[in-house]
Amino acid sequence: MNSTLHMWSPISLTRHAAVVFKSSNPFIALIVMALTGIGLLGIFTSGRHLHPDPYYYFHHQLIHVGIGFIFLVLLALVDYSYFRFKTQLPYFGTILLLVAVLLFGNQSWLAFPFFNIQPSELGKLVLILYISCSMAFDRIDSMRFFADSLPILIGCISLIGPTAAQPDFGTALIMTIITGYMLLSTGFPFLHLAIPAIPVIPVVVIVPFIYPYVMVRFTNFLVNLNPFSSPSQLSFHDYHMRMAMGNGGFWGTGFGNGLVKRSFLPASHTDSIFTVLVEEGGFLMGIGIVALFLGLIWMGELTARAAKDRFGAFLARGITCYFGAQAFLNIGVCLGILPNTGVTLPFLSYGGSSMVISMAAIGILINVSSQRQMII
Amino acid sequence: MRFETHGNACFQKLVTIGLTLFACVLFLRIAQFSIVQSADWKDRALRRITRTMDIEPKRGRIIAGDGRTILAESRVALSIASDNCAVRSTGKECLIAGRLAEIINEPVESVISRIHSRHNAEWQARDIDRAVFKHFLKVQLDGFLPGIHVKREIQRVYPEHPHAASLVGFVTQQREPGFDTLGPFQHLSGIEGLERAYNSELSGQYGQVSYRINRFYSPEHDSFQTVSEVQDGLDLVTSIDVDLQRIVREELLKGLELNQADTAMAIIMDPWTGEILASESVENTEEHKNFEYRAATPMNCWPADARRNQSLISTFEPGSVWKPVMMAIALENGLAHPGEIIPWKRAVVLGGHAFRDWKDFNRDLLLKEVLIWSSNVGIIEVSKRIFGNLPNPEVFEQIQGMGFLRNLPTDYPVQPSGTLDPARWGPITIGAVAEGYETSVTISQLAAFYCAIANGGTIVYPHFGKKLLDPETGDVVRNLEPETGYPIMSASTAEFIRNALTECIAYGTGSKAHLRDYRIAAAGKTATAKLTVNGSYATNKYRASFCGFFPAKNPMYVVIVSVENPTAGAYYGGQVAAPLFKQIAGRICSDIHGILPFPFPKEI
Repeated sequence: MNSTLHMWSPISLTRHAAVVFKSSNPFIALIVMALTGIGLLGIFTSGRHLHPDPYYYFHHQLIHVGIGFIFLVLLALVDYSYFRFKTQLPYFGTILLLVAVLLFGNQSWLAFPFFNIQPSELGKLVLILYISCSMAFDRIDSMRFFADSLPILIGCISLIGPTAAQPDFGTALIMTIITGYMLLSTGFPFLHLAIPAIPVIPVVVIVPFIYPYVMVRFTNFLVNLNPFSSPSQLSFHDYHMRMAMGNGGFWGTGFGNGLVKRSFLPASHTDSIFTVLVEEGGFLMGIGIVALFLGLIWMGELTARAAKDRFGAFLARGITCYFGAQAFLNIGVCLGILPNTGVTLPFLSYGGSSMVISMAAIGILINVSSQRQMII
Repeated sequence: MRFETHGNACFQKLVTIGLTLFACVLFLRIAQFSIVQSADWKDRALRRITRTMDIEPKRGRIIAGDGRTILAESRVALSIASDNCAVRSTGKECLIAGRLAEIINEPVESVISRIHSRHNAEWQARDIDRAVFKHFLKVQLDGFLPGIHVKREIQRVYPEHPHAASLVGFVTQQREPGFDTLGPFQHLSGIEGLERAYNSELSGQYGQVSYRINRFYSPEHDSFQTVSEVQDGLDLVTSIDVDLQRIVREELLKGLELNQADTAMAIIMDPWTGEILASESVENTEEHKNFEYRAATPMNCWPADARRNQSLISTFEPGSVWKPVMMAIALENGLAHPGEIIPWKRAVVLGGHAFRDWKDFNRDLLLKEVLIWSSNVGIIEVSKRIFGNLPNPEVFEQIQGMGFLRNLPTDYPVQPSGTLDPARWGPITIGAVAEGYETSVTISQLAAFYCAIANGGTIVYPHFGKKLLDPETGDVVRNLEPETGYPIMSASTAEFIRNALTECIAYGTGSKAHLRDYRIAAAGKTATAKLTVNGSYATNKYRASFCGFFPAKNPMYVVIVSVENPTAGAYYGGQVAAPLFKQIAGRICSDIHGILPFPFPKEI
């Protein structure tokens, strides 16, 4: 009977999906469902005060989640090994899109007839794919700088560079962290990474002097870190994020009862959504969100360790790093222990490209997890 | 079977440790904000979001003595204004303008042009009707008119203002800034006249409303809460009689013209209660004389000298109207007797100065004739006895007891006390004070003293306020009767002076004040005082005064008239002020009480 079914027939696909999701780590899907649900609640309560139509942001985010879910399922069903030697098209396509943003785009946006996309979000996933492919070859213990390491670095920089030039320093930072973490954790020689990084340092130091807002964010960060600085010295954004979390208290104000999010908190549906959720859900909500992301990281690391091959392990590790870095950067900014980077919180913040790419990445992670080594 | 670990295990351990530490920092930081510092931030959040708004109370009315005539009242005017920036930021100004134009019944083009003006705010409709307001509110509460607001303002109206302005006064009004034309009135506060004297009672209590604001700093409709209720100001019933006020003003203007004087002022008081019925001063300026100007211009736009009411604030040397004061002191202290005869002298020399009479009487005078004929020599003889028998401080206190040289407990905001400095008294003082020089008085002090003569010896305190009424129910909240006066002279002394003053009008110096056409006996005393110019008495500048009351028995009105610097020839009090008294009193008799003069006018 089985053999008579076509590979793309619905019954066959459904059976395949059942196999994939049953054999994968169930906690990944559960955590993502929980985070997305919390995020929808947060966007529902904060988006009400941002637009004449109170449900505008909620409905749009629902659409984003729907599209993202389709991508998740599709990528979960496709064997990740399929991408092992098929990275060229996504890689060069993304670089083209990033260059198109530089030429025609509005900041980091590229406008299409019915939707806008942020190619830099796609760049993160493609970067993970690219590094995994590049590092999955066998002679990993005897890499030569010019023959092996330098092409990989150039490949990464050709993705990070256009992103930073948009300028989208937040995403470029995330991509740099992903690159560094993935390369080092996959066994890339430390010196091959450290020595080329030396000429980059002056470039990074110059950035605050070229872009004054970067300098302002850095000085605000110093005020944030100083335990003796008074609240009046805080920047507008930091002040209201702290006010939101403090107003929540231990038990929170209750769903929809937040005061700060309805008035002055900037970016309350995107970058500051963590503080909105802490205001309404209280201390336990904050702990819960951090714990969910820690759980996701843990599950991603387990997936990487149990992956059947190096490519899968690197993919899982890169995706884990992507979510971990982005989540902790965002939450760190909300809590005033990192300088403001403009990084969104995956699965919670409002945003189409971010949500779809995150879901796609989770799809790949689920697929890697479904093909793990047998545990005896 | 072990897992095959892929990659750099050492680096992965480092990352795991770092991540764990970072997570711990995150937990501690969340705890710091939402547990440790929570109370402070809750307080800050509430203050950040809550705003309060004051609601101005309706200022109370000022009502004339008849209880009907309104001298000042407030009306609440509602106007529609557009917050142009807010309207434009919606991007739907044409739609909003169309709805608004339908409500206020104006062409859409004019509404749009006002929305697109270069000002932040613009009036769309001033002083709208109740029906328009209801229609507007219905549309606005549905959210169809963002950026369009209703402004509430308290407007102060003075219906009788050309006549009573100098007594009622006026209020300052602040304007809300940001408007193209003048913004709505705010914060009414009396700064002149009765508006100032009774400002706290008329003002009422501000109400307060709290509300939350959204991120555009505009209030959220469902968040309004009353913090304190607004209490409207009380209504003030005064003793001012608008008819008398008009009569006084018209007659003073006539007297001013007739005598070419600088200033003419008069006050009318009820001798039994001390209520000031009318009080007015006119000066020889266009703003004082031009009725059309006064009727058309609000009082706060008048020049300062046109606003002042000299009859309440100016002090002057009284002259012979002071003689009854010295006479009363002498009689009260037993230093003179009603029947005695003052021997005739051509002059009294004191400190090298010879005091003479205004004409040679060439005969001894009865004591009452000193007042009837206004004899300087006679009153100086009496004065000598006072200063000879009483120590100076005692004299000063006795004069104070008569109601001079001190502030009377009156409700008018500004009241000078008058001067007479015992430390600077010399030998000439005995004569000068007796004649009414070297001292200064106000018209209201004179009026209070003559009220005492009229009512049998009891001083009454001049005042305007009668009672405060609740604005809604009309109940009396507080009676404003001043403290009751005390007898300053015995009834027999008062009767002696009253009879003397009656005879003064009947055949004495004040005979031009006789109300013989009205068959009414009046009582009064004339005065002609030299004016001081640069510290010495001028030889050709005089103040003609007349203090009188009528009817002489059972008096109803005390009228004090004073004309400064009459230059038309006549300058004696009996020639200038007494006819003015007669005109005022005559018009009161005929216009108010219907006593027609004899011979009757032809048309009757």
